[in-house]
Amino acid sequence: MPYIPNTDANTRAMLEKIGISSVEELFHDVPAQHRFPELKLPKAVSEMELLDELYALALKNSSTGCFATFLGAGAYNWQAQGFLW
Amino acid sequence: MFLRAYTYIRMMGPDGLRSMAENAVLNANYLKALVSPHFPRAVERTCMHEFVVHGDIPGTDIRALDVSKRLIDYGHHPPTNYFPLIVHDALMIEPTETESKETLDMFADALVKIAGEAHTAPELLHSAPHTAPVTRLDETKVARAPILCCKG
Repeated sequence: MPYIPNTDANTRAMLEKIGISSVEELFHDVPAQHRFPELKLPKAVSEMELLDELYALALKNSSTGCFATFLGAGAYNWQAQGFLW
Repeated sequence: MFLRAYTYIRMMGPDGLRSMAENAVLNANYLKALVSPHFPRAVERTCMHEFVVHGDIPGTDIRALDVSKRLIDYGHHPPTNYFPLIVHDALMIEPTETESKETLDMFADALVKIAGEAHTAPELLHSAPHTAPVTRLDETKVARAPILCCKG
Protein backbone atom coordinates (compact mmCIF):
# COMPACT_ATOMS: atom_id res chain seq x y z
CA MET A 1 0.00 0.00 0.00
CA PRO A 2 2.25 2.81 -1.20
CA TYR A 3 0.07 5.98 -0.91
CA ILE A 4 1.93 7.21 -4.02
CA PRO A 5 -0.16 8.38 -7.01
CA ASN A 6 2.66 8.74 -9.59
CA THR A 7 2.46 6.23 -12.45
CA ASP A 8 5.45 5.09 -14.52
CA ALA A 9 4.29 7.43 -17.32
CA ASN A 10 4.14 10.32 -14.82
CA THR A 11 7.65 9.51 -13.62
CA ARG A 12 9.04 9.51 -17.18
CA ALA A 13 7.38 12.85 -17.97
CA MET A 14 8.65 14.40 -14.74
CA LEU A 15 12.23 13.16 -15.27
CA GLU A 16 12.15 14.62 -18.77
CA LYS A 17 11.05 18.01 -17.43
CA ILE A 18 13.83 17.93 -14.81
CA GLY A 19 16.28 17.01 -17.56
CA ILE A 20 17.58 13.70 -16.22
CA SER A 21 17.01 10.09 -17.25
CA SER A 22 16.61 8.22 -13.96
CA VAL A 23 15.39 8.76 -10.41
CA GLU A 24 18.78 7.56 -9.12
CA GLU A 25 20.40 10.70 -10.57
CA LEU A 26 18.42 12.82 -8.09
CA PHE A 27 20.57 11.41 -5.30
CA HIS A 28 24.02 12.12 -6.74
CA ASP A 29 24.73 14.63 -3.93
CA VAL A 30 24.59 11.80 -1.38
CA PRO A 31 27.98 10.06 -0.96
CA ALA A 32 27.89 6.84 -3.00
CA GLN A 33 28.41 4.49 -0.04
CA HIS A 34 25.36 5.94 1.75
CA ARG A 35 23.16 6.41 -1.29
CA PHE A 36 20.84 3.40 -1.36
CA PRO A 37 21.21 1.58 1.97
CA GLU A 38 19.68 -1.86 2.31
CA LEU A 39 16.91 -1.48 4.87
CA LYS A 40 16.90 -4.48 7.19
CA LEU A 41 13.13 -4.51 7.60
CA PRO A 42 10.50 -7.20 7.11
CA LYS A 43 8.63 -7.20 3.81
CA ALA A 44 5.48 -5.10 3.52
CA VAL A 45 2.26 -6.62 4.88
CA SER A 46 -1.38 -5.96 4.04
CA GLU A 47 -3.67 -3.90 6.24
CA MET A 48 -5.50 -7.04 7.48
CA GLU A 49 -2.29 -8.90 8.29
CA LEU A 50 -1.01 -5.90 10.19
CA LEU A 51 -4.28 -5.47 12.11
CA ASP A 52 -4.00 -9.11 13.29
CA GLU A 53 -0.44 -8.46 14.40
CA LEU A 54 -1.34 -5.26 16.23
CA TYR A 55 -4.36 -6.84 17.98
CA ALA A 56 -2.11 -9.68 19.17
CA LEU A 57 0.38 -7.12 20.48
CA ALA A 58 -2.39 -5.13 22.19
CA LEU A 59 -3.51 -8.27 24.05
CA LYS A 60 -0.18 -8.26 25.89
CA ASN A 61 -1.36 -5.14 27.68
CA SER A 62 -3.10 -5.41 31.03
CA SER A 63 -5.73 -3.10 32.41
CA THR A 64 -7.70 -2.70 35.63
CA GLY A 65 -10.49 -4.56 33.81
CA CYS A 66 -8.44 -7.79 33.87
CA PHE A 67 -7.27 -7.84 37.53
CA ALA A 68 -8.37 -7.03 41.06
CA THR A 69 -7.17 -3.53 41.84
CA PHE A 70 -6.47 -1.82 45.13
CA LEU A 71 -5.76 1.63 43.69
CA GLY A 72 -7.29 4.56 45.55
CA ALA A 73 -7.75 8.27 45.10
CA GLY A 74 -10.16 7.89 42.21
CA ALA A 75 -7.88 5.58 40.19
CA TYR A 76 -9.97 2.45 40.97
CA ASN A 77 -12.56 1.00 38.59
CA TRP A 78 -15.61 3.17 38.49
CA GLN A 79 -18.32 4.11 36.06
CA ALA A 80 -20.25 7.33 35.64
CA GLN A 81 -23.83 6.47 34.64
CA GLY A 82 -25.20 8.24 31.58
CA PHE A 83 -28.03 9.94 33.51
CA LEU A 84 -25.43 11.90 35.49
CA TRP A 85 -24.32 13.67 32.34
CA MET B 1 2.66 8.33 17.45
CA PHE B 2 4.97 5.30 17.69
CA LEU B 3 2.10 3.07 16.59
CA ARG B 4 1.39 5.29 13.59
CA ALA B 5 5.05 5.25 12.52
CA TYR B 6 5.31 1.49 13.09
CA THR B 7 2.14 0.86 11.05
CA TYR B 8 3.42 3.00 8.19
CA ILE B 9 6.83 1.30 8.11
CA ARG B 10 5.30 -2.22 8.25
CA MET B 11 2.84 -1.47 5.45
CA MET B 12 5.43 0.19 3.22
CA GLY B 13 8.18 -2.38 3.76
CA PRO B 14 11.77 -1.69 2.62
CA ASP B 15 10.80 -1.33 -1.07
CA GLY B 16 7.88 0.97 -0.29
CA LEU B 17 10.03 3.21 1.90
CA ARG B 18 12.58 3.59 -0.87
CA SER B 19 9.84 4.34 -3.37
CA MET B 20 8.33 6.89 -0.97
CA ALA B 21 11.68 8.69 -0.62
CA GLU B 22 12.30 8.60 -4.37
CA ASN B 23 8.87 10.00 -5.17
CA ALA B 24 9.15 12.76 -2.56
CA VAL B 25 12.45 13.86 -4.11
CA LEU B 26 11.12 13.42 -7.66
CA ASN B 27 8.03 15.53 -6.91
CA ALA B 28 10.10 18.30 -5.32
CA ASN B 29 12.57 18.44 -8.22
CA TYR B 30 9.77 18.37 -10.79
CA LEU B 31 7.94 21.22 -9.11
CA LYS B 32 11.21 23.12 -8.81
CA ALA B 33 11.75 22.73 -12.57
CA LEU B 34 8.26 24.14 -13.24
CA VAL B 35 8.49 27.02 -10.80
CA SER B 36 12.10 28.23 -10.96
CA PRO B 37 11.86 30.04 -14.33
CA HIS B 38 9.44 32.42 -12.56
CA PHE B 39 10.78 32.41 -9.00
CA PRO B 40 14.59 32.31 -8.68
CA ARG B 41 15.98 29.41 -6.68
CA ALA B 42 17.85 30.12 -3.46
CA VAL B 43 20.34 27.32 -4.21
CA GLU B 44 21.43 26.00 -7.61
CA ARG B 45 21.55 22.25 -7.07
CA THR B 46 19.37 19.17 -6.97
CA CYS B 47 17.04 19.36 -3.99
CA MET B 48 15.84 16.63 -1.69
CA HIS B 49 12.16 16.61 -0.61
CA GLU B 50 11.81 20.40 -0.49
CA PHE B 51 13.25 23.48 -2.15
CA VAL B 52 13.43 27.22 -1.49
CA VAL B 53 12.77 30.03 -3.97
CA HIS B 54 12.72 33.81 -3.63
CA GLY B 55 9.12 35.01 -3.53
CA ASP B 56 9.78 38.68 -4.29
CA ILE B 57 9.26 39.36 -7.95
CA PRO B 58 11.95 41.51 -9.61
CA GLY B 59 10.72 44.81 -11.03
CA THR B 60 7.64 44.85 -8.74
CA ASP B 61 6.93 45.55 -5.08
CA ILE B 62 5.46 42.07 -4.62
CA ARG B 63 6.80 40.14 -1.63
CA ALA B 64 6.65 36.45 -0.78
CA LEU B 65 3.69 37.01 1.56
CA ASP B 66 1.64 38.49 -1.31
CA VAL B 67 2.35 35.40 -3.41
CA SER B 68 1.34 33.09 -0.56
CA LYS B 69 -1.88 34.96 0.13
CA ARG B 70 -2.81 34.96 -3.57
CA LEU B 71 -2.31 31.17 -3.70
CA ILE B 72 -5.27 30.86 -1.32
CA ASP B 73 -7.47 32.45 -4.01
CA TYR B 74 -6.36 29.70 -6.40
CA GLY B 75 -7.36 27.05 -3.86
CA HIS B 76 -3.88 26.02 -2.73
CA HIS B 77 -2.45 25.96 0.74
CA PRO B 78 0.49 28.40 0.74
CA PRO B 79 4.00 27.04 1.32
CA THR B 80 6.17 27.89 4.31
CA ASN B 81 6.75 31.63 4.18
CA TYR B 82 9.88 33.55 5.23
CA PHE B 83 11.69 30.41 6.37
CA PRO B 84 14.59 29.68 6.34
CA LEU B 85 15.44 33.13 7.68
CA ILE B 86 18.78 33.27 5.87
CA VAL B 87 17.00 33.43 2.49
CA HIS B 88 15.27 36.73 1.80
CA ASP B 89 11.61 36.36 0.86
CA ALA B 90 11.82 32.60 1.17
CA LEU B 91 9.07 30.33 -0.05
CA MET B 92 9.88 26.79 1.08
CA ILE B 93 7.94 24.30 -1.00
CA GLU B 94 7.60 20.68 0.10
CA PRO B 95 5.14 18.77 -2.08
CA THR B 96 5.64 15.26 -0.52
CA GLU B 97 5.22 11.93 -2.31
CA THR B 98 1.44 11.81 -1.83
CA GLU B 99 0.69 14.55 -4.37
CA SER B 100 0.08 13.57 -7.99
CA LYS B 101 1.70 15.10 -11.05
CA GLU B 102 -1.68 16.66 -11.90
CA THR B 103 -1.80 18.45 -8.53
CA LEU B 104 1.78 19.66 -8.90
CA ASP B 105 0.95 20.96 -12.39
CA MET B 106 -2.06 22.86 -11.02
CA PHE B 107 0.00 24.33 -8.18
CA ALA B 108 2.77 25.42 -10.56
CA ASP B 109 0.20 26.91 -12.97
CA ALA B 110 -1.18 29.02 -10.14
CA LEU B 111 2.31 30.26 -9.21
CA VAL B 112 3.09 31.12 -12.84
CA LYS B 113 -0.19 33.05 -13.12
CA ILE B 114 0.62 34.91 -9.90
CA ALA B 115 4.07 35.84 -11.25
CA GLY B 116 2.29 37.35 -14.26
CA GLU B 117 -0.27 39.17 -12.12
CA ALA B 118 2.59 40.75 -10.16
CA HIS B 119 3.22 42.84 -13.28
CA THR B 120 -0.28 43.19 -14.71
CA ALA B 121 -2.45 43.49 -11.59
CA PRO B 122 -0.27 43.87 -8.48
CA GLU B 123 -3.20 45.19 -6.40
CA LEU B 124 -4.79 41.73 -6.70
CA LEU B 125 -1.81 40.30 -4.84
CA HIS B 126 -1.53 43.09 -2.26
CA SER B 127 -5.16 42.65 -1.22
CA ALA B 128 -5.30 38.83 -1.42
CA PRO B 129 -6.86 36.59 -0.30
CA HIS B 130 -10.26 37.51 -1.70
CA THR B 131 -12.01 34.17 -1.33
CA ALA B 132 -11.18 33.42 2.34
CA PRO B 133 -13.57 34.38 5.19
CA VAL B 134 -10.91 36.73 6.57
CA THR B 135 -8.20 38.57 4.71
CA ARG B 136 -4.84 39.82 6.04
CA LEU B 137 -4.54 39.20 9.74
CA ASP B 138 -2.33 41.07 12.17
CA GLU B 139 0.05 38.12 12.42
CA THR B 140 1.80 39.39 15.54
CA LYS B 141 -1.43 40.05 17.40
CA VAL B 142 -3.04 36.71 16.48
CA ALA B 143 -0.06 34.94 18.06
CA ARG B 144 0.15 37.21 21.15
CA ALA B 145 -3.52 37.87 21.89
CA PRO B 146 -5.55 35.11 20.21
CA ILE B 147 -9.34 35.20 20.50
CA LEU B 148 -10.30 31.57 20.97
CA CYS B 149 -14.03 31.95 21.70
CA CYS B 150 -16.76 32.82 19.21
CA LYS B 151 -19.54 35.12 20.39
CA GLY B 152 -22.77 35.00 18.34
